[in-house]
Amino acid sequence: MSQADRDGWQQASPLAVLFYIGQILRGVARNLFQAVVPAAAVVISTGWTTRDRLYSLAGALLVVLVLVAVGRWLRFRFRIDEEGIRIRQGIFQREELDIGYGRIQGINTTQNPIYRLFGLVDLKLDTAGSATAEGHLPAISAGLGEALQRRIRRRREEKAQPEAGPETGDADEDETLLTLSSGDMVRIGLTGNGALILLAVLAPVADQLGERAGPWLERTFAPAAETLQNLSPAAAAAVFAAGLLAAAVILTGIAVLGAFLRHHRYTLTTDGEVLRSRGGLLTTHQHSMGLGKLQVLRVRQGPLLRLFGAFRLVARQAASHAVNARKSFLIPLARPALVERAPALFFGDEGKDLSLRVDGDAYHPISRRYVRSRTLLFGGVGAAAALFVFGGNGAWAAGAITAVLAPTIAWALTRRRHSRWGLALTADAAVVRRGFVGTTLQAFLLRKVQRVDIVQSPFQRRHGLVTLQFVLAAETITVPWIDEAVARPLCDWVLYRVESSRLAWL
Amino acid sequence: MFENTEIPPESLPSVDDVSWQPIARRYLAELMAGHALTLGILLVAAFGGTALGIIDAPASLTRGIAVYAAIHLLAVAVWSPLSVRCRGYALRQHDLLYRVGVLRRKLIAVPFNRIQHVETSSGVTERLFGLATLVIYTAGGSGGDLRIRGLEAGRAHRLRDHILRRAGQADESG
Repeated sequence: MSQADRDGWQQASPLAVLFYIGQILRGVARNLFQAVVPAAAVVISTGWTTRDRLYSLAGALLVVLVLVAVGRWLRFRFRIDEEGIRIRQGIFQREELDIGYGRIQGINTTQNPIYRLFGLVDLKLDTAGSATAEGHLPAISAGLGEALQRRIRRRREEKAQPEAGPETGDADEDETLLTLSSGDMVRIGLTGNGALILLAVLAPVADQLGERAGPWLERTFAPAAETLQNLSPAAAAAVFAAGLLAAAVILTGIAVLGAFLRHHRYTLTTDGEVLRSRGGLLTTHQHSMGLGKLQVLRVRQGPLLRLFGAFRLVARQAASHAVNARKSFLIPLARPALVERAPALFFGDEGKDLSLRVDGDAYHPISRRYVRSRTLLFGGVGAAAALFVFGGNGAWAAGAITAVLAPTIAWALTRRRHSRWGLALTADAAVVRRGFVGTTLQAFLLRKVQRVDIVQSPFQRRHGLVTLQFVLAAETITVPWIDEAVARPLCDWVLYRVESSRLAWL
Repeated sequence: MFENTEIPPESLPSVDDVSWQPIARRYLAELMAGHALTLGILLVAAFGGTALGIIDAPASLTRGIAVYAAIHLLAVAVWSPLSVRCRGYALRQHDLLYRVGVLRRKLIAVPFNRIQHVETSSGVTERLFGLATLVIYTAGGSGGDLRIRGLEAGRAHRLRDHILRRAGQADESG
């Protein structure tokens, strides 16, 4: 598939052109998303003559698109050598990337059905310090992708034990940590927030469609509408509820389908150094992450996951912000056994005393004054707003009821948050528990902390409390309203662990 | 031989036992000058523009602007000395501490071996008063950047060089 020239520079498969077309289209769609719907409306509403002209314009754009994609493919070269991976790309502005093996945090490969037919993969490299995956090899042979992964792994092992021969490295087998069944796909679909996201995306589109489809709907369903109007209130409510239920079922169905597409036949393996996941129905996604690159491990359990007795794990690496979910490693459905093993698995010896329990009293609680302060703040503001709004209209009774209700609700909600918030510590690591409906644990090694902040408001100062913030390369972890007598020595301890650590944090 | 002696928590150096270095007193003047400058431009634009007939603002608006400017300057004059007094930094062997905030106090500790890079910058008014801002970048994203404003320019440069040296040493040994 890929020919190498004298210097070892290789070219991607011609099928990469398809990828580039997709990439350009995606880029256009992302940047001009707002323009697409009005443009389509203009095209539909204009007469035939202008429409013909628009078609020729679209044709010309398509030709340019293909030419640019072919150009990008022709100008793309990569080389894999002892130091790392070099990439040369760009049509007019030449770009040369040099990615050393040490900087590579993870490798992601995807294989869609077309690629599978030709034995190709799409390979992305996660590197430290970049917000997006920077090294990208579209449409290279699957064999080459595997060879690259092996090479990176060998480099790591050589670095770990320079004297050991290569045969010891090959000896240790990959251990399978987790496989997910079809039933699990349903669970992932049910528990993920895919359905909600889908709703958020579809709602504006449906709204747009609704405006246009309104007259047509009226014509078609006019007889039905008449019968609806003649229904009793109870029957109308039943119809409404049935409609809502149907929408919920459809959305959940799509979410489950999404889980099948993304995670079908999911397997999680490790060789002790690198974590690998593999899954996907049509397009196979393979994701790997060096365990040493982990910054924060998130364990999440919502009410539905709790019902299934399962967890959702996200291992976050440096600079993995919300904008780029690929830089975190997702385990969509983890059994309690895996969560129990997780500290040793992700943090090695340093995590051996750590316990990732969602419940239990192993967590140092935050102060009860948190509840009082938040109830006063939110309840007070809510009550004042209610009195202002309703009182202005003369509806004093409604105002009084809301003014009583607002602090009560605020109290109940903050109490719930308070009961979830807590901190557990070992000599090397810490877990912060938080949550409202569900529970999230954030586990991290103390030596990977980048910065410690102690924040104290006047109210907190009066009661000897502080809010502690640990800034890590992946996210900032907050422990609010803890005892000053606990927080300050803890801050000293964390700084000591960071400053005396001789291990790399990245 | 590998050793791992236990360390009693009480013996750890505490972030509370440091002697805080104040930032330059001139920063107060710079702060006031900066506010006065912005408000001055606003006033000149409002009154000058009306007097010259470039803009047609009602008298109540220009009067309102004048009152706002007076209140703003007064507030800055009361608040800034407090704010400047509450700021301070402390250089330790392995980290830099910075405290800020009058009501909501914040103490920030940045270990040298986690610093990515350091820079000093000075804007127009800062240069006028011979001041500079020290910016320390860590890997914690935008939330990980620490800005120390109102340092004497010479001291800011010396601090930058010292931190760079310490960060480099920490990298070599680590």
